[in-house]
Amino acid sequence: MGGSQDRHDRTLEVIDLYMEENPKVEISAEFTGWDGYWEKMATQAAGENLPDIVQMDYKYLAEYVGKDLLADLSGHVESGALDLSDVEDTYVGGGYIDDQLFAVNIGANAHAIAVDNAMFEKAGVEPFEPGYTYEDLKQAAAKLSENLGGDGVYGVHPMAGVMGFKHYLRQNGQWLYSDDGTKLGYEDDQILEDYLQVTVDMLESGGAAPPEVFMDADANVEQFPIVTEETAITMDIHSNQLIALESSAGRPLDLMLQPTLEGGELGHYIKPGQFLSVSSDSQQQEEAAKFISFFTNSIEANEILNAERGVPIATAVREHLKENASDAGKKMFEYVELAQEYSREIDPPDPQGATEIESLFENEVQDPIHYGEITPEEAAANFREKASEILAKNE
Amino acid sequence: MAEEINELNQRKNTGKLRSQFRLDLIGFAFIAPWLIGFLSFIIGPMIASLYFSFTNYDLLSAPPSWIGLDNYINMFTNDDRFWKAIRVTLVFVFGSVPLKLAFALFVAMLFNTKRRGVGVYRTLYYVPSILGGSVAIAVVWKQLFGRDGAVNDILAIFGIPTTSWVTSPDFALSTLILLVIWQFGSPMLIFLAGLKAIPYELYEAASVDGANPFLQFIKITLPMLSPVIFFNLVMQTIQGFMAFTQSFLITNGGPMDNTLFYAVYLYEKAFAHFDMGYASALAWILLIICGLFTAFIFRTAKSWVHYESEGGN
Repeated sequence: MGGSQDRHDRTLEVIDLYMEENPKVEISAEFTGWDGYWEKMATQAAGENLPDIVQMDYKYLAEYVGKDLLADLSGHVESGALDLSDVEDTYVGGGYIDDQLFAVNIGANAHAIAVDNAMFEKAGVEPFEPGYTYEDLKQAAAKLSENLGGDGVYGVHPMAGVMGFKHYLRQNGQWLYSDDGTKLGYEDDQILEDYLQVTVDMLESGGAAPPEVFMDADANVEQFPIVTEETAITMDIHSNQLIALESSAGRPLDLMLQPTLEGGELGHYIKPGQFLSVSSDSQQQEEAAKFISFFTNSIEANEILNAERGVPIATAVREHLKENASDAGKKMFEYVELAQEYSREIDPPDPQGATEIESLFENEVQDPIHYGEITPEEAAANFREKASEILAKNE
Repeated sequence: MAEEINELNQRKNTGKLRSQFRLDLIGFAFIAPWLIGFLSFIIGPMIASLYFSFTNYDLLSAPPSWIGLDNYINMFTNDDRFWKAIRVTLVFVFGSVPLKLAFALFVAMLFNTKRRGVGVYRTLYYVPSILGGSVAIAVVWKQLFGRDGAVNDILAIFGIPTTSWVTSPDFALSTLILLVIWQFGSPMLIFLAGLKAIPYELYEAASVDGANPFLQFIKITLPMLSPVIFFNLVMQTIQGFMAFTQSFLITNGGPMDNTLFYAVYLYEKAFAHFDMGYASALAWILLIICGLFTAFIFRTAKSWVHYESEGGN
């Protein structure tokens, strides 16, 4: 399992609940923060001692399946050990590779931005409505900074990252990787330049917070400047993160779609937030499948989990939770439904080397853009050159 | 007669051999715990990593395939981040080691006086080093030098402009160097022992001859202390090249790779990009770099390290 303290606590409670109901089963949990999680997984995989059940991510699924590390669960679905009868196909689709089920989605998500509408109101800025554009974002950010600022309050916490870029590529009808994963999927560097220019403009206008305001937080949503009312907008989060964000902030925040690209395509998609998978070394595959079934279908368990990983996939569970959801939970359920209206199909899982591409993007595109040390043109050309080299290894 | 003596001798010899062997065996049995650990946790992994460095081993998929010197060639001809890591590490080592040693020596000399309570101070000043490589101290440092940290609070009182020191591309590396200098305790203790070993008569004689304290420091303390300085220099340089925790926990190599310590890059290659073969090659290059620098220090030692046993100077 990987993730925040909140997630650890909830998951542990569910495991305890399961062991109470099934006294013969003993489950021991191993936890790591998100950063260390994949490193630990890789080491355990190399030593052939992965836990029976592992949390999987769409990003790594292809890599792990390609290396025979995960067990095919379709047999357990047929035998009924893993009960997916209450789950619509769109929610399990992401876990299938070549008609074999390697991963069960335990929470659906969508790409989002977080906004503090009270701050918008205070600054006299109209809240965003679906369909707003990148231009609207820039103007709102500048106006927010101007009307709220003076004492270190800014419009937007920018994120010229790979997640936003992928979205922008989709809006341009393209994808980051070619189908065979051996080169970049887009031809024209202008797309990356335009994408980065949005952040550069916001930094120059003062609409975006300078890097020293948000670099400390890194990827910890609990420390994002929106939590301390230092920005009114946070770019590029996943819809489920609203719950952690709101509970740290202690005030209502809202989710909004990504800006629209004028004349562009739909960028959104419903993302299988997290998966549970069973490792192929596991001696207890059937027991593991039963636990995943419990995780998916038990209303009691999902009340504890409270959709922290994303919207539950079993219909009965989803409806029950939505009825009884906290305010943040309701917002998330409604947002995922909204995003679904603005979605088109998900792109294939990332190819091998994607993690290297992502550190390249962070180190040589995102950070230098935030610090104003590189122009979008230079960043785009440099990224193409180095990313192509990394992907060429897949040939 | 001669034959009998021969036979006797032979018997004696085999007996000797047998008892010698038994003695050896007892010896080996006693050091076995260490020996097994050494073979399986040091020599074994080293051989494995040497082999991996010539393969494309990617951690998740076995078996690796042999690619000869490709990893090494790639590193030197086609890897900007490798050179960046080398640069950062050299700046870190050359920046932190001399300052740390100077500071350690300075504090050791303060403690080499007979004042009341000096023992308590000694202990207190050693504390940062016990916490030295620990995770806790790195987290504390990150907090202290963060945007909302205590350091900024103090600077703000004096109206000095503040920034987030650990995430600023200009100051991040200096912040890490500062942390390492602050952990001066273990070289300080060694210096202190060295200072105590310098005969007091030398200073007495020098002051009779009219040498001032500065001259005494240059002419007596430094030469007499040079073996200890030498030892500390070698140890700290090697530690500097292998530094990991500070960068990994406080800055994670960033921003923009400005604190990308060699060991952090190696770790990233191995466990984030799963490129274990390449990471193994990096590790062997690091070993060679450490070896070269140590050899260099040893080579220069002849001209500045004075040993009492060699007649001194």
